[in-house]
Amino acid sequence: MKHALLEIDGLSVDLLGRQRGDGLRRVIHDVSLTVASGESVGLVGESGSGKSMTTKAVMGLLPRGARANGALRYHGQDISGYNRKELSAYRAKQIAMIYQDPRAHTNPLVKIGDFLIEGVVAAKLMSRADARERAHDLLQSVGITDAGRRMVQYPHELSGGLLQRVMIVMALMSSPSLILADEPTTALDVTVQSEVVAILAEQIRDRSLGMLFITHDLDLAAAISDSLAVMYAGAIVENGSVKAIYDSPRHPYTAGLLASRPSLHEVKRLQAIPGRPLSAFEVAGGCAFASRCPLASQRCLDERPVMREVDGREVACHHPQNVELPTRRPA
Amino acid sequence: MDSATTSQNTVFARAVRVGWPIVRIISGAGGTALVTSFVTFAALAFTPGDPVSRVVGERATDEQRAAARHALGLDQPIPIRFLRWLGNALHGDFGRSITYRQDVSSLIAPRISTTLFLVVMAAVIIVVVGVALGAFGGWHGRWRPIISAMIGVGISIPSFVAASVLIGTFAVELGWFPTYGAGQGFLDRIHHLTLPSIALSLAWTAYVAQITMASVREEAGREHVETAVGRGLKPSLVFRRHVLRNASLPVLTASGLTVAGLVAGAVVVETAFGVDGIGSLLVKSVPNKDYPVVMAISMLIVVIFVTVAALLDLAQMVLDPRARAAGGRR
Amino acid sequence: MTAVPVSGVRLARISTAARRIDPILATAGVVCALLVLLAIAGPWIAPFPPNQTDVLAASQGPSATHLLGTDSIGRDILSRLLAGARLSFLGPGIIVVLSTTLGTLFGIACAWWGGFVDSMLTKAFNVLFAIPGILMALVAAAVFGAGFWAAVLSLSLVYVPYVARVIRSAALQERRRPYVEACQLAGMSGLRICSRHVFGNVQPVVVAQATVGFGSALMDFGAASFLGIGVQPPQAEWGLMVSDGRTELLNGALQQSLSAGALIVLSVVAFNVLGERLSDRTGAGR
Repeated sequence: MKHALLEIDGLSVDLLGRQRGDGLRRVIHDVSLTVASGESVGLVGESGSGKSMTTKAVMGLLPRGARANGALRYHGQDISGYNRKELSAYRAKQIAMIYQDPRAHTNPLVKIGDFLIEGVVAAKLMSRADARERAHDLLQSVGITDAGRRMVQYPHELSGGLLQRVMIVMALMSSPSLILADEPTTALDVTVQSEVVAILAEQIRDRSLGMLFITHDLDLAAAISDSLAVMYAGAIVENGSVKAIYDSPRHPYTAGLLASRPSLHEVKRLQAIPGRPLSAFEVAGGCAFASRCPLASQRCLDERPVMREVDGREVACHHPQNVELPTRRPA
Repeated sequence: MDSATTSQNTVFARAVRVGWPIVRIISGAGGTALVTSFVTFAALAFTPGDPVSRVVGERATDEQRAAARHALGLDQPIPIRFLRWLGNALHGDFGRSITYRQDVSSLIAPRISTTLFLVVMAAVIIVVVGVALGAFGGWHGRWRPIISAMIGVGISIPSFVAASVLIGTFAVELGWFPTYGAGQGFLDRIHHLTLPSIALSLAWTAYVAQITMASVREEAGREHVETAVGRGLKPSLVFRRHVLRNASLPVLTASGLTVAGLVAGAVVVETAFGVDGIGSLLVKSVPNKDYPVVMAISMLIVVIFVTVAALLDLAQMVLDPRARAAGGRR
Repeated sequence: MTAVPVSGVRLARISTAARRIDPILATAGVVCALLVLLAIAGPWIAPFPPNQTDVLAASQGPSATHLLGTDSIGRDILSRLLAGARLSFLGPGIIVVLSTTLGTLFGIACAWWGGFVDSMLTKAFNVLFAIPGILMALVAAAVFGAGFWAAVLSLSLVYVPYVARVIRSAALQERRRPYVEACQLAGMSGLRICSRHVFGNVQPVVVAQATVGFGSALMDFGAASFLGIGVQPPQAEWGLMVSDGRTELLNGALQQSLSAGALIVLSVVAFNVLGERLSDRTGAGR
């Protein structure tokens, strides 16, 4: 049994309404997830599914006024009880996050080198000189050969792909045990995406880090993760090993996602899931996916399904056995 | 894949990239100052009324008039007259005051130090108090409504009203400060010019605070600040290095332009407090129709404004690496 | 028949339709309306004729007959304030109307034609920006003699570039919208597109800018009268009254300067708040 690094236990998050006087909006509903040491978990979902908000909760960066229930445990310690100092230490040493848009997440007035060493120097993890050396070495290990030149440049002088590699280095600087990657390749060109993902996968493997990889791309998640968690309308609908879920999904939504990918081998009509993805607060009662599900029954409309073990993974569905399996193996 | 290729980085290319915007800024400022002074000169030259009569009297002959006109240089077309005036001005000769019958430069010289003293005192208040108040309100959201309200009122108090209130309470009722004059000696000057500088700076301090608050607030909401917080940096460090520094560019521009315009604002305050600076001299010269004085002081005000604005543009180039790359224009 | 694309027309209307009553906006609006009413009806509700002197009752503090006291030559301050509201508001009113009209025209012209027209006008505006308002009023007074019109016209000229800059930027945004190109392709004349669509959608910005401009004009016009280059005595005007009250101020009699000053500040605050709230709305509507 691998040691659990991160345990999300029944997390629910409500945000303040947009206008004054509106009530709370639920964005995450009863999410439970574990990331073991050295394990890569892919969290897959569409826009509004609540996956980004989950990472924010793990970082303790929920927006002002947000209400969170449930437990978030790191190495067994509940982080919601942390005071400011403990939270700061947790963020500086234990976890690190790689964001979606590297350009927006870097300070345009700060040189790359200064940006990289800032975190570890402020947390007194190493001296300035040591930090510079480490940054230099890490830049080279992610494939930036002229690291010395890059360290004195400003963010606007680097391309998106280079900048994202810099973000990966930033995440690795403090030798964290857990990396949170929030759609790290979405803002990049397709050709650059695979390079960045490969670099990330290599670093995770070499250092035996835990990773929570957020994406809307099921194929990408399957390529980089050990286990998958599929999220819909703020809740996890299916959770298990990549092999189990990718080859034989047991939730109609997962199956729908797999089936809706364009085929590289045959010319056929695109199969979309009818309707649009919902957010947690738009769900009335019963199963969140019922309005779009081909298998929906009356029970689905009345009773919200709970996560239970089916076929070697966990599913939240009343009719997992009736799910149509994908007809072809993915490329 | 990279944005910087070797050909763009030769010494010559970099020199041109940096040098050209500087040339552009300076020539732009010079051009504006020139055109503005010409327009002012021309406006004053078109004044109804004949300055010649004042010199030779009502009952002069045509020849005497023509001679006087030639002596005053009034028979030349306006652009020539302007260039003559400009040439003299660059040597420090601004003509003679009609009212005081002395060189304009000798009238201005002692007074300009008084005005500059006042302007500098006001500028210090504006920048220190305005930025501090605005930054505080922008970062600590709890205080924002109160500070916003204070700004809303402060920005609506014209300097002459502030002057009256200050004189009435602090000078007359409480007697802490003198009611008029600029005083002698450094400390006495500060004592005399305290109320005037407060009156001058009040509305502008509120304005700078408003800009600062908006800028800090916007910067605090940016993603790169989230990155810094997410790395475990202390709030004070995040504020100093990531919020304040990035927010300072619009604040610098706003405060710079404010300071540039302070000399003009000094006109009202000097009149209200009986301070003998170039502002009150200008106001006195207007009803007297003392054109050389009016022209000289107007020019001074415009040149100061244009110079400060140009320095601001240059400063922005220095401080913002993106502006440097884009050639001074973001 | 040309089919006019609906998408571009009156985008701003949608935002006002989703109106929520903002209490501060409403209060400011009411205060502004009351002040304007005062300016119109002032002389008729004043207890005393504003120019009636009574040297025996000079420089008195507030009393039962003279609610705000008297000035140095015995004129009732309250009456002068009420009568003075007219000129104090008329001056800035004309300034705002003139500068907003010209500024809007120039701003839209710059945005529509771009190129040479835009760069020439921008250069002209840069020259005007370098001249502070008070300085322009002083020069105008030196050239034309001090008075109401010299101050009003010179300040109007100074305000034009500020309005033009704001309108130009808003109009540029409008101009880039796809519906404009669609109208052009449909054969609409530039004038029609500008007047009907661009101006229509830029209108809320114009109104907000004019309201804030009114507040500034109140301050600048008052300052001009204070300096003696605007409204001339014995007329009643708030800025002039602040100046008149100075000698009494030095003797401890605050009533004239203070009450006139307070009214100026109140008016400026009200119009500034109104203008700010209005421009928040237009910003939110985009």
